[in-house]
Amino acid sequence: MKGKLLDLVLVLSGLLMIAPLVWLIVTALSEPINAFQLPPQWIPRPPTLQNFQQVPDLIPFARMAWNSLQIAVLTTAGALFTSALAAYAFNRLRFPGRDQIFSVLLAALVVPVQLTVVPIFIMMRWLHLVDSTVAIWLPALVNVFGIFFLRQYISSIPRELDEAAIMDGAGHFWILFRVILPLARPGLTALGIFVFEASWNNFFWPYIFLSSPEKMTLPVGLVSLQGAMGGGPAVVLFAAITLVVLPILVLFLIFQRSFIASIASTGLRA
Amino acid sequence: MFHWDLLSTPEFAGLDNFKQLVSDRATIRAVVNTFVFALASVVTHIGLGMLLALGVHRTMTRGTKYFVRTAFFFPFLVSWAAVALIWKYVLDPAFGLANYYLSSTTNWLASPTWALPTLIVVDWWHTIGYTFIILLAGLQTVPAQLHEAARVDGANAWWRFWSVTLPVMSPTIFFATVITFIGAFQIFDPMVIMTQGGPDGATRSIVQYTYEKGFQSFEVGYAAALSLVLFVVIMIVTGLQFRLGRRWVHQ
Amino acid sequence: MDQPLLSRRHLLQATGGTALAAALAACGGGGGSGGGSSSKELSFVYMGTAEQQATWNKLFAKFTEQHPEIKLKAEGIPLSNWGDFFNKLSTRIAGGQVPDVIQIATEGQRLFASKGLLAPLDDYITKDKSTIDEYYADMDPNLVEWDKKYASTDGKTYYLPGEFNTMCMWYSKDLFAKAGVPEPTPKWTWDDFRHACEQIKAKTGAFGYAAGPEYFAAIMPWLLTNGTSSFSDDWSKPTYDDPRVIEAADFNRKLVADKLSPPPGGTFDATTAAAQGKLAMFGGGRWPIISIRNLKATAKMGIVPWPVKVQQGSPVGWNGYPILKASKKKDDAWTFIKFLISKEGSSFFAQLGGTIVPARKSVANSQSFLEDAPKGTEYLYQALSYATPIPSPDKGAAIQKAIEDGWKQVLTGNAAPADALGKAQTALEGLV
Repeated sequence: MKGKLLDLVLVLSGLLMIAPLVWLIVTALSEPINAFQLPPQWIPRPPTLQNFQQVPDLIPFARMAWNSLQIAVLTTAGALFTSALAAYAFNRLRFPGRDQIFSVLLAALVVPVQLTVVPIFIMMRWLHLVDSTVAIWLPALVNVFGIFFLRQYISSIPRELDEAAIMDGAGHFWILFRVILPLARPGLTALGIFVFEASWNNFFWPYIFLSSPEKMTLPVGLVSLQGAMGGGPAVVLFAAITLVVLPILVLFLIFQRSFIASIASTGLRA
Repeated sequence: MFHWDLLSTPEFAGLDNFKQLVSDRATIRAVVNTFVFALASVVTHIGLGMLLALGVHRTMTRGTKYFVRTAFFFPFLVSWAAVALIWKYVLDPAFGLANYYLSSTTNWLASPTWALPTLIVVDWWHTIGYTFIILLAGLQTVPAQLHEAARVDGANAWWRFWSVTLPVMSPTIFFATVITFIGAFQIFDPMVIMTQGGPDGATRSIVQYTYEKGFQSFEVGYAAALSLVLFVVIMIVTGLQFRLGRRWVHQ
Repeated sequence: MDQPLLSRRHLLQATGGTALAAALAACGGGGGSGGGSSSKELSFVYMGTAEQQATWNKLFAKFTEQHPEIKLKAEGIPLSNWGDFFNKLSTRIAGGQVPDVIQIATEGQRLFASKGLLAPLDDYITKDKSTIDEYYADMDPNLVEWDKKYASTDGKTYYLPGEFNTMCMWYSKDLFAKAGVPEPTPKWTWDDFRHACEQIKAKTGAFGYAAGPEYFAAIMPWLLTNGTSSFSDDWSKPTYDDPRVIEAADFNRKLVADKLSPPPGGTFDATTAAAQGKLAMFGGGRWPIISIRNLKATAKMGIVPWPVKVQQGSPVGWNGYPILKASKKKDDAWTFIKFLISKEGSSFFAQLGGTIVPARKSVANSQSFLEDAPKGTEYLYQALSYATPIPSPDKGAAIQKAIEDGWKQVLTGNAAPADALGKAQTALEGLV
């Protein structure tokens, strides 16, 4: 009985959690004149896709989605690769100043990106990379959190395994790619999901660097939809937000199990 | 340590920027706000996250478990830009859903009393999923035999939680605390998008203040001094956490 | 004044900021030396959503037809606020891509001119005197006057003025009828306005007006109709603690306190609320037309000049078309600008999704601009005769924030008008 009651409380609070998102989608599906009613409407009557149809009239949505995807994939692949290499070095190799360098890296973890944007902007100008998608993924190839996180993860993998491999005459790369990384797969998945999610939702960085419409990412395009002079109607904005949110929610539903398992592992290993 | 507006030549200022910093009331306000936000954030994330994890961890139907876990995790996947926009509509004092259902007229984001707590709630809504999942995983590592043994020894539920669950979970809780604290201390997006630091600086965070000084009023030297302070504070607090952590985290 | 629309402006300015842009432009080596579009094309950068793109493209096609020798590469950046647009533009210039012609609104004209990024147009104007005279003759003389006074610091002409926005009051005819209140007349007063709000609230329960803290759309109209402004005439001194500013703020605060206006603090869609009969009036230039058309409510709305206390007033912001100093195709650029301001060119602005008022009187009074628009749309052009350019000193983003923060404190009742505006005044003095 007590259990049932608790279940009910949990389910109700779960409903409360997703209520704003449900409202977002309902509003996006409503006719403009029926949107934003009080009492709030929880079923769009009649449902319509007209707001969604208007989104591509306002921003090159498909192009932006492609840019976001491209940047997210490159960033994720790159960050996983460099983090694995660096994490291995910081955990398994011995070289002078290793721990000092690592603590400097750790310190970098707590520096907000808002403070590093200007120096990087100046560098990108030198490289003639401003207003290119390269400016977004290039600095993201090295991910300090990723190094820190994978190092913790790798340190939990028994050294006896590498020693056995060394006996067999294996080099560092062989050990890393054939012994360590396969065992670190949950950690890699977790990191990959994190980096992908962060990149897909990243607003600040692309906002500063990208200026041509055909190079913008979705969150930037989304915000550009909402301007004072010539922005679209609010319902269209809601439709656009839905279009940004929906793919990632669907992905989550599909990969829920490994997703949650991976994220959970971040807390256990680190 | 310079007076510099990004355009002209920097001028050496010695410790001027730091002196100004100590006497600048807006800075002190921002530091206080950030600490309040970070502490409240850690307490609510860990406390309520733990309750949730305990609730979900009990045996319940798979459907319920799936739903609750999904519902609480969803918001974490939505970008701040979208979260802030949705919530500004939800919290509108006259036309918003929140006041409609609460039968209230509170101006959540514009009241000096409510603005900061409101942001804490919205931030909680956005990131609790992550904390919750980590804690839930930690909970699942507690061996059932330990619980059984304690039960046989006559320990009640509360005592079992205190003497078995908590110690075994302590590394997870520790990790969650550190991550939540670092994230909360750098908070920037919701302030900028939802309140612009207002009303009258009631929700301005350190990072936001640094950003305003550096990129809106061109006091780059001052902004640099501020970020240095921010950096040192985070390092000290994180260091302290690790120090304390060593004491109570079960190895 | 559409609540969500303008609060979005904050988002952009707070996160990006014109100031940052200016700084970046400056560290772009003055945008000068190695710049200039190296390609053979004439490049033009303007602010435009994809929706407007179709109309722009027609315009460009026409240009290419008339001038096949000039290859035009036009790029519309889909943003809808100027702070953000300047940021993007400066980012691009700092990054070494210098366009030949750009579109710049009042808020950035003086800034860009004073950074030495632009080429003076005076020689071209003398050369093509008849064309320019014809253009100026078809325009409110104020626009020409302001363009000289505010868009330049050294007496040279850097911009040809173009389309603009002023502020008028949009109202729901339905709600006025339901409450039995006669529709407002062009000469109505603050008292008439307040009275209408009270009647509508009492009879229909709807809010009278949406008071807000937006600098251009919700603060300046009240200051100007009360015979005051945010800055002195040459934008050098803030006057934000002037007793008439305080009076205007207090008038707005009372609307909120007496529940004639929804309190600011969140976001709601004013056009939707008006179309649904929950809000009788909101301030706006031309831009609410997009949402109103989308709601199929053009026939239900009317537009009148802002109510008056001391004198008629409205802020105004307009687009200017300068040639970049680093451009290597200045003659082609001038040909293009001349095309933009031609009758043929301007008539396209009447069709541009309707977010702005064309500069030519003949076009603004034409059918293509007035149809499918609320009754009273012509007042937007007429407002030019009594409007005041929006004061836009250099640190635009920080100044706007100080002004809006102070006003918001008054509206929400968190601080007494004199205290909040006095504090904002001190902040503004520190910024200029």
